[in-house]
Amino acid sequence: MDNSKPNKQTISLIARRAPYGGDGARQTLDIVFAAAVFERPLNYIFIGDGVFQLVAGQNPKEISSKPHGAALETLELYGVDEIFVHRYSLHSRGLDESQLACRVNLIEERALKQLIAESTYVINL
Amino acid sequence: MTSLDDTPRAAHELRYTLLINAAPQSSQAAKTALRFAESLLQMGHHIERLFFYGDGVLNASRLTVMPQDEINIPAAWHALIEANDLASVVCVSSAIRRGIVDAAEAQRYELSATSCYTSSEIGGLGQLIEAMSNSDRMLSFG
Repeated sequence: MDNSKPNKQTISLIARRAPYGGDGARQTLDIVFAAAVFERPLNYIFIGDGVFQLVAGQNPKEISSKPHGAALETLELYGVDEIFVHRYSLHSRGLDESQLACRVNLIEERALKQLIAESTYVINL
Repeated sequence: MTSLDDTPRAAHELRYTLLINAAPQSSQAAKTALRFAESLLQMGHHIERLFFYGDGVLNASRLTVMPQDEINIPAAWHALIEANDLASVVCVSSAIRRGIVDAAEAQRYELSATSCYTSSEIGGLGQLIEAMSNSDRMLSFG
């Protein structure tokens, strides 16, 4: 890696699971917060069923879980604004931008590939 | 574990951080991570830090008992870490949920036992981010 630019290392975190079936969604989010606290440049990327994590107004109390979307709303306070959503994943699940808990950038497959290819580290939980 | 006598030396030595996210018993991922770590060291690469996360924290359990004809992955990690003086961190928030505690956590939560191998330290995600920044490569397993 390019050691002459230690502060330019970009971490891409890929969220690809629905929020409550497993703990992958929460684990990815926790790494995002840690990276943000350390002021590391990061891309938070939602693909596949991961787009369900972003839906506003989640209420998983009945299944004894904490709402995932509520934590996502605080991302902006942590300076995390590079949130990317694969457009096709979102639309093919009957969702659109207006239903999401935070502001996101919709991107196409080609841009997604480039984003990942240009990242120093990729974490895919 | 198999000794890889024909493992070549690396032409360029690299620093690796390994993120282990899988329990030792539920999938092949933890075994793959262990063998990968052994191979890295045999090739002359450097392991900056092992980071056990999520179900992966169970790899640090010193209370794991396996049938005699099966490998005890946590014991193998412990031996590898001790023999090579590796830095190994277990994520605290993942660990305490799963009953992986060292003496300090046991005292903090008034628990009657400890379960974490002393070769690993219980720490935070900041240590993953820091290790990644000091590494040429980060690989995740599981």
